[in-house]
Amino acid sequence: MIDQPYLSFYNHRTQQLQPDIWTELRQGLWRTFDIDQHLANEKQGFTQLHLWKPVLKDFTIVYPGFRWDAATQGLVEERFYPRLLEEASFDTVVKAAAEVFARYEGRRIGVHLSGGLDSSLVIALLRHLHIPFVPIGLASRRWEFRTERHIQELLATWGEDALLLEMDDFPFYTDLDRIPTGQIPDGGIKMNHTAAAMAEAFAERGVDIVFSGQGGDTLLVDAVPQEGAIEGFNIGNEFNFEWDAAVHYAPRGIELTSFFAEPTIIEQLTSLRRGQREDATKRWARQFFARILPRELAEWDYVADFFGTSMSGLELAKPLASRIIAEANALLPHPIFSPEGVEEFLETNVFAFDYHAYIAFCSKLSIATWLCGLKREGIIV
Amino acid sequence: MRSLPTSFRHQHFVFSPFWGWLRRVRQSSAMPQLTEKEERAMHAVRNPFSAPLPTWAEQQEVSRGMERWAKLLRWAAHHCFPLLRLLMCFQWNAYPDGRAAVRAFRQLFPSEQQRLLCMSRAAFVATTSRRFRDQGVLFVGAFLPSVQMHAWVVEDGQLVDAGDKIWICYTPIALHG
Repeated sequence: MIDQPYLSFYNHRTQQLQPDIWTELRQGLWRTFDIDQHLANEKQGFTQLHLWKPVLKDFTIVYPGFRWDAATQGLVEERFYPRLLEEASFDTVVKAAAEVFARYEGRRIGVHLSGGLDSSLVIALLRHLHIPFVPIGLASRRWEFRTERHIQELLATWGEDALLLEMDDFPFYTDLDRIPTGQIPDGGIKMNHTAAAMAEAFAERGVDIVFSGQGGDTLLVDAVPQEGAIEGFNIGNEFNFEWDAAVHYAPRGIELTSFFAEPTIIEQLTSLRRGQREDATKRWARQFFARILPRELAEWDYVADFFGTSMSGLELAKPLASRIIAEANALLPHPIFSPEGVEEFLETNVFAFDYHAYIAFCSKLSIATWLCGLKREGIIV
Repeated sequence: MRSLPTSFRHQHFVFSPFWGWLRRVRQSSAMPQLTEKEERAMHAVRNPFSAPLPTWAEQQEVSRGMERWAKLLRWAAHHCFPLLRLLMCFQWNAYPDGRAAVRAFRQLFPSEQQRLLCMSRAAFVATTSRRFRDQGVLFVGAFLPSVQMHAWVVEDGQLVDAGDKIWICYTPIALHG
C-alpha cells in the first residue's frame, strides 16, 4: 500500500472529502469498481478528467489538478493562467530559472536524463548557471534510440556522478506482480521498476531534489494565441509525475518536481511563444536555446518511438500478464478478463499489435494489476 | 533491390526484394557488399547527426503524366509488390532532385494519407529524381522486432523528405540504388 497525498475522494454519502479510501476498500468497495466506465473514461482522455463518470460506488476520485466543487457537485479544474510578459527574453528566462534553482540551494540536485529536448533544456540551464547536478537516465542500445543515446552520453559529461541505466535490464511490464498497490488502477505499470531503479540511483548519490522535463511538451508545443485570453494550464494534471513521486521518490527522501511546472517558467515561455502555432518538433525552443543546447538538439529534431520497447516487454511478460488477468477474473469477473481473451492474448503476435489495441490492452492490464495488488496486500481477502 | 539481413536479439530477419515481405529465418545471412554510394547513404542512416535535416523544396509543377505515374506506383505498392519492383526500373528524370520529387508527391495526396504511402513515395523519388541514379539510395526498414516497415530515400548522403519524422526508428533491411 502506498501513500497517495495527491489524491482525495469525495464521499457522496457523508458529503465529505477524504484523503484516502483504504478503509472502504477493505470493506469491499473494490467490488463496486465499474470496469466498463473506467475504460470509457480513459477513452475520453486524461485532459478530460473533470468529465469522467464515477467508477466507485458513492465516491468521486479527485485527481491532481482538480478540486471538488460543492456548488456544482462535480470536479472543477484548477488552471493556472500565466501573465503575458511584455519583456521576455533569453536573459529573463535564465533569470527565472536561476530563481527557481536558488530555492534549492544547499540541496543536491538531480535531473532526468532522457536524451530528449525537455530534460536536456533543464540540464543546459543548470550548466549555464554553473549549478552542479547529477544526471541519471534510462538508455537503450536499440536502433531507434541511437540519437537519444548519443545525447545522453554527451550530457552525462555535463553533470557529476552521472549514470545511464540500461533499459534492457528493466523490460517493461515484467514486474506486474510487484507493483506497489494504489487505491485506484494506475496507468504507470509499464515502467515501474525503471522508475524505482532511477530513484534508487539518485538516492545512492545523495540527491534530494530531482527535476524532470515533464510539461515541456505542453509549453513548447501547444499553440499560444497572439491576442485574447490564454487557455491556461492544469499544472497538477499535466506537469507532474505524481505516482512516481509518491511511490519511488518520497519514500527515499527525494522530492520529484517538474521544472516546467514553475509558474514563472510557464509565464516566460508562454510570453515568448505568443502568437505561435502548434510546434510539434519544438523548432522554436531548439533555435531559441541553441546557444546553451548541444548542437545535436538545436539543429536536429529526432525522437525515438517507445513502441518497440513496449512490445518487447509485453512479449516477455506474456505468461505473467496472462496469470494476472486470470487472477483478476477470479476476483472481479468481467468479459475483458475472460479465459478466451487470455488464450487469444497468448497467441497474439504483439509485434503486430495495432496501437489502439495496445492501448486498450494496457488499460485492461492496469485494472488486473490493481486487483491482484489489493489481494496481495490483504485488502481483498 | 537487395536484402540487408538483420538480427535482433537472436532473431534473424530477411526481406524478400521480390515479394516485399519480411520474414524471420533460422540463420543470419551475409551482408552484401555495398557500393560507395550505398556506404555513404548507410553512414547517414546509421549516424543521423552526420547530415543536416532535410528542408522542403519549393512547390512543384506536377504534370498529368507524373500524377498518373504516382497513382500507378501507389496502386502497385499496395497490391502488387513485384509490379512495383518492375516499375522502379523506369527513370523519368522529371525533377532536379529527390527533395523536389518528394515535394511533388506530397502535393498529390493529402497529408493524412501520406503515412501509408511511404513505399510509393520513395519509389516515386527513385524514378523521377535526376540525381537518384548517381547519388540516391532507397531504403526499406523495419521497426524491429515488429514487421512494421517504412521506406525512405537518401541522396548525396542526406535524407530528401522533410516530412518524414519516423524513418529514424526503422532498421534498414533492404536497399535499392
